[in-house]
Amino acid sequence: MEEIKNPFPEPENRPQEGAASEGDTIRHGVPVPSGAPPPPAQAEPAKTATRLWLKVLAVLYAGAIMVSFLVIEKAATARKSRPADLDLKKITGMVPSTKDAVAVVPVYGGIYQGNSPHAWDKGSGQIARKIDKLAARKEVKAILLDINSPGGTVSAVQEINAAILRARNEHKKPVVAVLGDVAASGGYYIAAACDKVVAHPGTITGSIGVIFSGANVEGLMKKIGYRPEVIKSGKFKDIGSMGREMTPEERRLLQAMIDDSYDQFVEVVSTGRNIPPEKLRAEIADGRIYTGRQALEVRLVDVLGDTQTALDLAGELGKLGKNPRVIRDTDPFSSIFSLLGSRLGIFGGGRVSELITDHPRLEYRWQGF
Amino acid sequence: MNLLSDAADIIDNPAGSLAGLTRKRLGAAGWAGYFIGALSLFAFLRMFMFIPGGIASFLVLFLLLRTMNFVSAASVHLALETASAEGSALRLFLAFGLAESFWAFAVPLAFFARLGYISPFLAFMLTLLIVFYARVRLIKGIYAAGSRKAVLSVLAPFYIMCVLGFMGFAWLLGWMIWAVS
Repeated sequence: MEEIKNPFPEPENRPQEGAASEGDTIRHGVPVPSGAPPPPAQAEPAKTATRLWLKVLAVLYAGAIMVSFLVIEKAATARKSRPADLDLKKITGMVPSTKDAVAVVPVYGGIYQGNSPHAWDKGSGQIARKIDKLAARKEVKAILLDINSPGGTVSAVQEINAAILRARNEHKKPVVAVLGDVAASGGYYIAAACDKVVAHPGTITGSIGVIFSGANVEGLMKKIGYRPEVIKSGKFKDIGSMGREMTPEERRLLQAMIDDSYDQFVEVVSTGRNIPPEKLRAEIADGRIYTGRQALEVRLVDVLGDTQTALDLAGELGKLGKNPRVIRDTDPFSSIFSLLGSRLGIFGGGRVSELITDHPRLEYRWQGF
Repeated sequence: MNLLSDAADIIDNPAGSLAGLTRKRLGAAGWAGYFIGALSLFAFLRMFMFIPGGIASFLVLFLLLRTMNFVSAASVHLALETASAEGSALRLFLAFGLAESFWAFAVPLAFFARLGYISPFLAFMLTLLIVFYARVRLIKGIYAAGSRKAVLSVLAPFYIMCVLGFMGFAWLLGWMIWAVS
């Protein structure tokens, strides 16, 4: 009996690439010319068995594919009948729970409109957007503003104030403010727009008023031989300039602006806290600061307590009861960037940048620090 | 049926069959394999609603698989040439199509996963393992390389991806430090 050998025992014995021609047949992987005699009979059964198995598998595969598309169709139909947010949650597992909750929005530090190119910096625009976004969410039944701020520029404070009013009036979501170490001036302005205000007994608050501060460095500039040249289109174009003394006319103009901004502040506090404006002007809103306990006496604050007290209050207003579930809408990327920023900030880059970009502005700000 | 005959020959004797098959026939079998692979993977992913439905979605997946295999075949070829194993990159790319057809196993496994017997991830990884095994066998057939060389070359694209990923991460870290400072 003839021995069947491996046709390519060594790499050098392999046929050249493309050695087989179109008319050739393949027997056990070996190209055989068309006119060659048939192979020995014992090689056929194994080949036939593999082909048979492959045919069976092909038929099974076709069936499986058809059944799989039926399953897909059924799953897709079931998916369409469910709310979209539930679907996402089911599929990705990345969407947070949709159970009712109180959303906490932190308002820390000075309130300014973001002028940084860094997306993770928290300007008033970002805070207002966050409030809008949370108020629009179905599962958010109340919002808690965690305020620890001495205030900021007028328009930035008003931007957050407008977002709070939208949440209350358009989305019908109660908003509670909890005041931390300091919630003065602009910090209190935004608290006044909330349904309820909770403060620690030792919180510094109040400072209802407006301030415009600049400096006159004319003398210093003269000393170092620096003389600014100003060409202006109108006599008030360089109002507030640090290079010269302020004229009485300019002072009157600025005072009028400050009075108008002050009126707006008083109006917001009067409406929010239900205190007559006359009483506010005469007794409360002269720029003085209060402790939390003093603020309670003059009705600037509703309840004395801590963050848990505020959460319970927000839960009750949102009909969730005490100790509600809390959503802290923190973005992991912004947290990483903030951490990096704060770590690198120890080298003083941020402070230098602040000093360079500092300029006179109208502020609802307590300048106690 | 030519495709089935060729596939049977390759299963019985990968080395001899791959060397003997004409490029045209290998191409037909390879493209059929790519199609079956993409269809199976599409069915698998759709069963768990991981991807959207429709022809466009299937075509994107098909193109993605093809591109990934193209890059994969190129890097495997490069790795094997470096290791003094000779063969054709085009044949390897077409043969990878045959390996892709083993994604067909994902379909029945997906049924088990839907019924909760195994997790979809496990089903996916099992099929991927089968595809990897098929690739190793095919590489051994085309390049006359040993098992170790074949396994290492199959993993080569993943090394490259890891290295590129690490380089990207290092660059991103440097950029972040520059951005915040």
